Amino acid sequence: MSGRSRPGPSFLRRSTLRSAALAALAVWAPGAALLSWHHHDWSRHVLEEAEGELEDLAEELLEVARETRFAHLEDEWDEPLDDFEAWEEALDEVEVGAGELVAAIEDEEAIEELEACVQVADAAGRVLLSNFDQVASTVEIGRRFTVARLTGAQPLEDRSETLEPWCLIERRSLSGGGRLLIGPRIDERHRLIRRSAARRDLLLALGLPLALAAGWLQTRPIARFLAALAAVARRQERGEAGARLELSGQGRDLDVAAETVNRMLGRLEQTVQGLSRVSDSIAHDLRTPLSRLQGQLDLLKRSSDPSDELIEAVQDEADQLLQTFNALLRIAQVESGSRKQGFRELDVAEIVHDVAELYSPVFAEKGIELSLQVPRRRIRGAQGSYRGDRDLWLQALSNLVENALKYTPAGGRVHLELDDRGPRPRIRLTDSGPGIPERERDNVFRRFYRLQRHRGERGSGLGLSLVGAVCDLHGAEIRLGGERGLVVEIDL
Amino acid sequence: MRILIIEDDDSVGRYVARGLREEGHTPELCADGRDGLIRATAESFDVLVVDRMLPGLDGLALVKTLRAAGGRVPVLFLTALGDVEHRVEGLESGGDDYLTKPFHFSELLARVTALHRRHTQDAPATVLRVCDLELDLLAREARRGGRTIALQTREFQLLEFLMRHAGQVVTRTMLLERIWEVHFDPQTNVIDVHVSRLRGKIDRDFSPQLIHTVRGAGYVLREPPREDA
Repeated sequence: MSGRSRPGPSFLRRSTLRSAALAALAVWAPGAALLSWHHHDWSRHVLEEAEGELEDLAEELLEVARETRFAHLEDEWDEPLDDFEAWEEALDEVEVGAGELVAAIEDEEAIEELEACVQVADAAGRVLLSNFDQVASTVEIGRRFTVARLTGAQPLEDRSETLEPWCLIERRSLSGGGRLLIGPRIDERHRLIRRSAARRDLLLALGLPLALAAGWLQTRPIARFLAALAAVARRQERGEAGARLELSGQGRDLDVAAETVNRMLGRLEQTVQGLSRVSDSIAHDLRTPLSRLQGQLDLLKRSSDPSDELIEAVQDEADQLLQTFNALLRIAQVESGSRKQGFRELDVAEIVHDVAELYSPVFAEKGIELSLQVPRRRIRGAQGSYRGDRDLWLQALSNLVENALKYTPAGGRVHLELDDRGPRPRIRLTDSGPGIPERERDNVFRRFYRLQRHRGERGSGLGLSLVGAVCDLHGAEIRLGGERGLVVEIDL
Repeated sequence: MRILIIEDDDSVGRYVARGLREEGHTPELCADGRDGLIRATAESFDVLVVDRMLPGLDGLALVKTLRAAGGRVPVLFLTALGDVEHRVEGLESGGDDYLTKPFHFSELLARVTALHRRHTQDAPATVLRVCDLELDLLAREARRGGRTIALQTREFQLLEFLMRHAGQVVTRTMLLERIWEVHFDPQTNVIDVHVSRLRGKIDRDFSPQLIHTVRGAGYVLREPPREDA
């Protein structure tokens, strides 16, 4: 932790920006790829078509010239060819020079009307025939096509807007050193291709920042949540047990998470407070018996012939302390919830019955009437039989019964009953003792709490704490009541 | 009895060993799990007292291995872990009894003696007899001095337990655990009251008194030694 003054917010922002960027790219990239590929594919198709036209055009022109030349050549032969195939072969091999080509293209006007560019030049570079002035610029497309912008070309017919004159262009050499430039006009097609490319570029260029912005906006609340979480954790570390997350009222998911964290922090605070309470109580309530024990041991040391009674008294005191610690440990275990692992199916009726049976002779001896009302059948809950810890319930009920035993005077009555007629099975213990005053009823479940009139009595003072903890663990509800005497009700 | 104590806490080990020696037994002490296993299999002991948490070889594993190798010597586990699950674990690994620390030496002694007795018991009997007290396990009734005495279920179980361990000290904790399956310490002296009630039925109006209270330990059912003159 040392050396880093503020690692929190900026670091978090960077990592969320990274993830936002990645998400944006993941969304943008396929779209970009698709657009580019489509444009490329389509424009190539268009140009291929134009290329086809170019071939036809060139063939047409050259063929006329060839035939003318052939005719001249034929005149010079002594014998004409009989074979048609041979004749064709011979025709194909005729080469045509620039002058001859020009001569063959008899009708110059026709050239002007072609939707193509045609230019014939001789070996010296002198233009003999052309339907445009010059090539202003050329663009190579994909190493296969060359398109050229022309100057001085006739605008194509039937076109509403003025288009730039472009053609797909190819250069062919003629015999004698001349050359032929030829190709179909692609004014409109060229414009379309250019427009498509422009659109692609625009979409690509706009898309990326948009995607990034969207990603960042999305992760902003998460980034803020993480920052808030880190801040609260730091405050808790510094000892601020009351530090909590603020609920923004924004995204539902984040608020739910924040609430859960706050609840956990609340429980943590409670536990810590509980722990400090317990250690205070332990210090307070056990100091006396420990000092007593110390005194007795001292006596023992000084006595030359320690009597059995003295030794036993010391052992009793130590036992008592041990019991208190065991009780505390058990309560802590129950409260921490770790005993849930030991849950098995319970026979509640049997447990109540067993407790009553265990204590009945003690009641008899003390002259208190103990009545029991437990149904013989198995108690079932809403979801089948009850699950729980038999040990804990035995102990909890024992604690309650022992309290009844302790505080009910001879000649009194105690009634223990298991009532399964209502929606939840209810264990009810009623005694004819003094009961617990209403204002103290919530306090008695606290550890080491003693009613005013019982202060100084023996016993650990933890009995009801354990009962409360056991009820909590099993989801049972416990109520204290009664006007004369005490009624304890536990709903399972 | 020859007893092997496998316990790494020196003070507990020596305390138990001394107590056993004073009672006339022959204790041996071992502080490591592996050594303990070797000794337990190589030499013959009447009872093993094994701590659950041991260096070298964990107590549970030790007993499991021992049982797998055919060792049938009774085992008493000592431990600070006292929950149901740990107890069940210990018993399922082959242990016969389970005692949580801290404990009273008399408790340990009573249990060790009981284990030994259980181990060397004869064929199961249908009638237990001590002096003129008879317990008919089939008919579920007690008889003394020719009279049949009616006992409630728990009273019967209590008497049966005492008679099966006749001559041995039986602690209150043992009774709570075995008969009522209660694994905590009640604040009140419930066991004393139950025993007192039992005495009222089978001892008070008869002679000699069979159920005796052993101070600081528990109870024992036995015929008192005849004191001649």
